Amino acid sequence: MSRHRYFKDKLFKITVFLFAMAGITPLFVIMSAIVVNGGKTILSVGPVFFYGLPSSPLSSSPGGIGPALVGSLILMFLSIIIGYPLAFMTAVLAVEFPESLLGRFIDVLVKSLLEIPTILIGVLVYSLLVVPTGNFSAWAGAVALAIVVLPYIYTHVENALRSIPVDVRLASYSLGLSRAKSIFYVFTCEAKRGLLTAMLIGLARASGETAPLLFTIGGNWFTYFQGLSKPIGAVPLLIYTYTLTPYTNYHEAAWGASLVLLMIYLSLFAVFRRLSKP
Amino acid sequence: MITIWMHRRRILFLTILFILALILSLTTPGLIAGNKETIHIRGSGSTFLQLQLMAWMTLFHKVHPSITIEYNGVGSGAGQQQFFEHLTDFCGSDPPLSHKTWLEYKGRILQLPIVLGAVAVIYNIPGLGGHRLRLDGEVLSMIYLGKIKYWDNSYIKKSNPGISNLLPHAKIIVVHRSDSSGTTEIFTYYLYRSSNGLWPERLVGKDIEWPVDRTGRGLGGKGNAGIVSIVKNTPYSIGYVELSYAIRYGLDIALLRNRAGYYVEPNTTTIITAGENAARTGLLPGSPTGDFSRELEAIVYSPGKLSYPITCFTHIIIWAKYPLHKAEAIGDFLSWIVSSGDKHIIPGYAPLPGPVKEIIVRAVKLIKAGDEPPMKGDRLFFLALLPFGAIVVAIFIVFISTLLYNSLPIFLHEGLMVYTSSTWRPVENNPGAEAYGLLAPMIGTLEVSFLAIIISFPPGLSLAIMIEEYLPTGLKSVMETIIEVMAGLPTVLYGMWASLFLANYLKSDLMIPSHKALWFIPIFGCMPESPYTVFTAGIILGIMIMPYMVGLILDGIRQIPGKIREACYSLGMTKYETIRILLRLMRPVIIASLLLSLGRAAGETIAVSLTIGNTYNIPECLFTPGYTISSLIADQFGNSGFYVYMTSALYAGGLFLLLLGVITSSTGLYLMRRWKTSV
Repeated sequence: MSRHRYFKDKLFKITVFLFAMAGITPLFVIMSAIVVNGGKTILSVGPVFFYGLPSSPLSSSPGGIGPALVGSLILMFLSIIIGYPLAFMTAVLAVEFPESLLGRFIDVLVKSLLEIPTILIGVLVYSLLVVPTGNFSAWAGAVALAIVVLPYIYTHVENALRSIPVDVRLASYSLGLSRAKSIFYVFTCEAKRGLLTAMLIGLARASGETAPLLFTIGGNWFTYFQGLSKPIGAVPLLIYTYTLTPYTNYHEAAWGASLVLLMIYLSLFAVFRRLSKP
Repeated sequence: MITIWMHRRRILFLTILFILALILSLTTPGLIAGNKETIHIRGSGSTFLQLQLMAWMTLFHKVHPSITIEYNGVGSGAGQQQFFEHLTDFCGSDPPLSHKTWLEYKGRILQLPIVLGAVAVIYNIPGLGGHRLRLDGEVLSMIYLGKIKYWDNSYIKKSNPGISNLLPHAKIIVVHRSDSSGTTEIFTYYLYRSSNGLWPERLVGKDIEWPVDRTGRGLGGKGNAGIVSIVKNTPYSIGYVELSYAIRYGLDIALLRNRAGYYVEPNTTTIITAGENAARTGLLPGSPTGDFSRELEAIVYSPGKLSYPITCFTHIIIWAKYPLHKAEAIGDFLSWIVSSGDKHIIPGYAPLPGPVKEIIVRAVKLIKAGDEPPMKGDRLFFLALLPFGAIVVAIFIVFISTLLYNSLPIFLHEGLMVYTSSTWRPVENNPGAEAYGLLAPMIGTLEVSFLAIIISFPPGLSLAIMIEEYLPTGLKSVMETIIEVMAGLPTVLYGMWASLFLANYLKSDLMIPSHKALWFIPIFGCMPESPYTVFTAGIILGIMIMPYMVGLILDGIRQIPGKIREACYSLGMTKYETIRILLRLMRPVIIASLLLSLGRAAGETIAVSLTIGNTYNIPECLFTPGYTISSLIADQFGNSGFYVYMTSALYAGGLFLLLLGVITSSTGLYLMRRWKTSV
């Protein structure tokens, strides 16, 4: 090989590696910034940060994120309660009845939900649920979140159902089980790993979404959960709101809340990864 | 308001039309991308058909890359069994279904002759010097009954006047199949039909008791291959095999006397002629739904000067109903066989004569798409699932109609000006004076999104190349995990970090220096006042969109067949040169990835809203604050209730975002799919 070609080859490799490293650097910078700044906040406030109430912008303390944290957990739970059965049933419809018109249409429709900007979903739920009921509510936020996470859960459930070996299907049918029984007693066991990862991906998504909550949950920072039809807080919305304020102590609280959110997200992702790659 | 009331019917009609059009357009990307997975068709049966199907499959696959056909040569009997047990989608069978089986499945199955074959009588007589042996049914019957003992028997001499002195006084070794076989059935049936009663009907079948065995001169061979090897290695022997075997192993093939009294050799012409004449007997059904069990009567020992007497059809048996995709795929395959498959028949077999081909054409029309054989309670279960499907459909319809309904007032107020003007004039208590133009945030959206894909492209492409071409397996999965974490990281974290941390550095270390150096270029032409600018938003959006882009490009690289890489390396190319070739191949994928990423970037709200500065302004320069449509909605929607038309204007902005998303994603997915099928 001529020296010229050799040199070009090496140069290309170096360029590719440099650009690639530049591409993933932000992740580590973001994570370390969050860990350092958020860690500082949490250490200075102490455990109160997790259950305390926010402080005044005039004080120097970042205060706590208690109501928002509880609100976030409730919203995640609610959005899965609404979104998962819907995703599961529509996936069954699409996988088990692909020859029906609805079965084919539903597949395309659910996946198209990804194309709707999440802020739009928030705005639409606002005018469909918040305006008619007259107040912001946990329900409205959960519905918006459920619609946002629906296509993600759906895709994972679909993959899980499609990966069931033909042998298992035939074996189940030949036992005389109906399609419904086969799905609920046999296939769900066979694909439980995939069905669980679908749930985790839904939870991880729901934990971090902000735009759908902007006009739906109202944002409660000082009051804990009051009921499903009452406004509620959420960590991502708190971070967003605090970041937009000019107060240093709120910025500190935003860093701390970011660390909490990061930990929730990373732990869900770790379990997801562990389950999906045995 | 009065005008709305007067035209409400027309408006209602238009709205419904709009909704339908939007749903349709919104689902096009999915329709383009979905439902085009590979369709697998499985079959099994006749061993002969395996070679022929393999020959056809390779050609057919080039025309229909999304259909693959698998076939196992397990024998006709086992093939039928597997087919009726629904283990396979079709079966290849040399004999047609028996009358009894046909009655059982009548109306649910289609039988179609697919190609013509023949049984050749082969012999091994040293010293004939290239002369062809001529035989007829009577002589053959007597040989296989054991009545003719030597090759120089007077009956044989009589039919071979030219070589009577060459026939040796040697004992005839009579070879037959030891296993159950369709070939034996056809051969013995020929003996029965052509020997004037010498060969009894009870000796017709797949596996019979051979009278010649009792004389000690009979030999059994397993399969066509077994017979070939015995005849080849045993002087003065005679046997019968499928013609293709006789041709492939270069054995001497006897001329047989046909019904019209002529001695013919088996070749394409004589086989097709036999098929044609069989079709004229009226014993063959004209439709694939008919009973083919009397087919042998028609084709074996059929009339006609040029007909080869031991000819037969090979069949494909299919269901009359399949799930939609399979029905289409099988139909495509059968149509292709009729139109092009004919020209690729392997030696030893012959294409169908015209009238028989009609049966296949008819079958293609008869295959229906429908449910699989129904199972108990299925219908009920499907009905139970319907509400869930209906919910998703309802979500879509309600969303789109709300979007349209709510943006209607601004269109009635100022028409399409909402997209072409850049005034933003909210006035309280005087709706007539309100004016909202979305041009500035629309430009902002495009500017920020383009900046984002420009920023993310070099690292995105590099990461994809590195993961796929350079990294060892272990590191590869680590890198993929990192990309996945990046892709799923809550956007508010990116936004917060950019807003509280990155923005100030960008301003002092990047924006101010590049303004000072490049002030003469308009987009760098202004001094950044605040850290929150279009530029900042573009950077953070670029970082966020990069993992999504990597996924798309990786998906593309993985579609390239490995043989292209191997070809490049075997030419002595360096990795760089190889990757250059791969990248040239992938150009459509890269364009598609950029388009899809652009669509994603345009819809992102939170991170942009935290970094763009939220100012109504046409950003001619990158270092000024601005708005995107989504950040405008996030910022203004909460206050829009004070005004009459602002909410509606924001909905119109949402409509723009949705349309932009539909256009970019349908174009992107279309390019992607077209490329995938062409690779």
